[in-house]
Amino acid sequence: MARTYDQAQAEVGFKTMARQKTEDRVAGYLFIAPAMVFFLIFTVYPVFYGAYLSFFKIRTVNIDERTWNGFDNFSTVLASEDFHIALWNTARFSFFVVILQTVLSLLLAVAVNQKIRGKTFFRTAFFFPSISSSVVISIIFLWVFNKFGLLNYFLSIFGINGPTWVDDTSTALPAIMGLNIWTTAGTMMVIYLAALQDIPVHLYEAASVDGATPVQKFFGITVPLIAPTTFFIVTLGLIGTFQMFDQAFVISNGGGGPEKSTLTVVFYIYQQAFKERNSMGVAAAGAVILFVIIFALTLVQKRLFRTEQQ
Amino acid sequence: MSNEKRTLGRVSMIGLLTLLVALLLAACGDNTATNTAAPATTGSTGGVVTTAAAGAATTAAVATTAAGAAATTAAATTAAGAGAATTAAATTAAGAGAATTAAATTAAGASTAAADITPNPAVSGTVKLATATSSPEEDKIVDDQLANFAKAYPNVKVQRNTIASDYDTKIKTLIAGNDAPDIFYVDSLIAPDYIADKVLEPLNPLADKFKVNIGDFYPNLTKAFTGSDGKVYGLPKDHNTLGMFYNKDLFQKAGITDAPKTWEDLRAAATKLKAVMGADASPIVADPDLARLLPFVYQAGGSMLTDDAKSSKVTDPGFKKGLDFYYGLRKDGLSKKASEVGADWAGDALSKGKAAIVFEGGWLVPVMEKSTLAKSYGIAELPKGDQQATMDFTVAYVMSAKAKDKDASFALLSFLTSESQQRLLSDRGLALPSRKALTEAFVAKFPLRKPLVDGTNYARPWQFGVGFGGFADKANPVLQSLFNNSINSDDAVKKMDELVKTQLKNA
Repeated sequence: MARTYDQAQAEVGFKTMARQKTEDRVAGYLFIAPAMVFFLIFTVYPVFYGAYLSFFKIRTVNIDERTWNGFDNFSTVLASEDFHIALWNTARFSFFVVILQTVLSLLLAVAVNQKIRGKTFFRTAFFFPSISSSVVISIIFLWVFNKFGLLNYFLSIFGINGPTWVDDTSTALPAIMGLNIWTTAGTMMVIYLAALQDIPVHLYEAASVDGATPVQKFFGITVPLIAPTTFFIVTLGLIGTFQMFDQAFVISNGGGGPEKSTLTVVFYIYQQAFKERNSMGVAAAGAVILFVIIFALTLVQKRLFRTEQQ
Repeated sequence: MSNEKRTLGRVSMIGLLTLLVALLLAACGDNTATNTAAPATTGSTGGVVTTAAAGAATTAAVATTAAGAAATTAAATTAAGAGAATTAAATTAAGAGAATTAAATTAAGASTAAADITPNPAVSGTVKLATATSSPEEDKIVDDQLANFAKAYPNVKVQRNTIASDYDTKIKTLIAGNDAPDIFYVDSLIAPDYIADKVLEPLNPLADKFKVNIGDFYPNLTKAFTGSDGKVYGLPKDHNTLGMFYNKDLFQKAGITDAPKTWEDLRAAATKLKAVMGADASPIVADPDLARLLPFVYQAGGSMLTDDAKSSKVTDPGFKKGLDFYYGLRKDGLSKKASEVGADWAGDALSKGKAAIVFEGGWLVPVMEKSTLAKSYGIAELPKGDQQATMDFTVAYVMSAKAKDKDASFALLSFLTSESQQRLLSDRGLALPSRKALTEAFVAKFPLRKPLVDGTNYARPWQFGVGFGGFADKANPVLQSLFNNSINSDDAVKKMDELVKTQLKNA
């Protein structure tokens, strides 16, 4: 029985489609291959190698000659007083910075989303600290925070005798918090700005018709609609603050002082890796523990946001 | 219409400017062949401007041409001049005299040193060299030394890597990554770790082969780089002892004629100084820093470790006595931290007139020379407690155990620490010479620094033993707590003792 033209055509088309699909798939993998290769070599491999190293006793200058150490490195980290101090500092730092930077960046985004004169200037000005080198900014802030620096001069106008900010145990960490919020709020603002512009205008118009106040509109429309962005920003903030190192390093001149008040978890890992002779494995264990902490926090947070959205 | 006019106006303005710049550059150029070409180029650009009712595209073209002309002219100038550096100085700066002379002197200095060099083509190879940048002056001196080395060993190629900050971390990473430089700086504090970890090459056999006498260096400096096997692993490039830097003007104002010689003198002087100094300054500026505390501990007859570096001596009375004196100055309002007078470090405070007395080393000299107090500061030996003592900081050139061309590497190492090349360094007064033979000339040239040289005789090295490479970062928080009054000196001693014992156990 001879096939009809249509049947044959359909068969050919089907075959072509199947082949097309395979080809698409191959092409897709080929396209991501270069990025994947770099990702595997420079991210995935070091992550697993680092986790593997955390079970050994290692001298910093000779990683190849290592001896099996079981879970000793982990117990060393968990029992270390320095690690407890670092964790407490990091937790406080993270708590204040994440809350303040999220609120501040939302307010900034709402402000520069208004139809005001010179809003492009303000957007640029608020974003500018984010694109500057954090080390350079830290060094500039060392001068701002100097005993006779800009900040204390400003305070002296109001008759306040300012402290030696970065050399005082009670003010050193808050000083870095301020610096960190100032540099990161700009990036967060840009992300919020994009989310704000995605909110349909007719919702606000409808609310206006119903007689809603601007505050009601903000909490009734803006905040719920940008919740996914808030989740994203809080996650980014948590990860960023838990990994804070550079600013503390520069502000404390590489020592984590005064009196370990600016010692963060990553700073502790750095000290174990490079300031000790044979604690590279302890440093690796510290990194694994930090990973677990950040991972757990992100999961908890995801759950919190999910219930809120439902 | 008006828009077009404005564009035209802008274009002609830009054209005129480029014309001016090109003319200026042409004028600066020597009267060589290229000079005739330059006006021709500028002429044609001028033509474009006046005739064409041009848009942005043409403006860009004009700019490019002008830039091209400028580049040619600049090239011509450089080629015509005697040397690149001299010409640049002559054309750019009005006060170029000083710069040119400086360059000339250095070149001359380098060539005199190079004059007594006889080339040794027998040694060949490639050597990777890593140095830390402590100052632009020192970088320049190493450059000159390497230029001389290229003449002495024409067949040895040197690849230089200058590490700007966090030097020890960078070096450790390079060593761990099997990419250690062949020759590099090592600080006395970290040297025992490197020697124990067998990453350094013993130098004695090579020194014999190259007829280098290790005994020409100060023995207490080479001792800092000697392993428990008795072998020498590094040749010191220079060193610095701590001395007492003081402000002569303030001393005069307070009626102090002689620099304090004992602990009692120091207290008395500081008390007098306090009366003539403002609240934003301090007679003494001293930070809670192990490297500044320990000389006072040594002066009190104490120490942190026993001589064999195997057990703690922190709980012995000497340590507490030194600590109490150093901290006592602060408790009695005679001493402040640098940050409390708005300074970065104690030396900074002295150079700004915010301190009358600080305990620093030769690295403070260039800072003082550049300050307004260049003519009114003095240097004395550290005051005497029960005995005279100070701290000696030294850095050596060492060779990696994995260096490929050992002969070529040692040729470089011994050349950089040789008498003729070390003279380039000590003649600039950045640090004290590590060779005995150079000391007399150094003191003759820099009489002010004699007290620092004298300190060499009784100085203790900035070094403790294996595993103590990063110890200062651990000890300083304890001293900070003491300085902030969150603990008393008995607690500080107890905590320090614990730290030392833990470190000894982990080493």
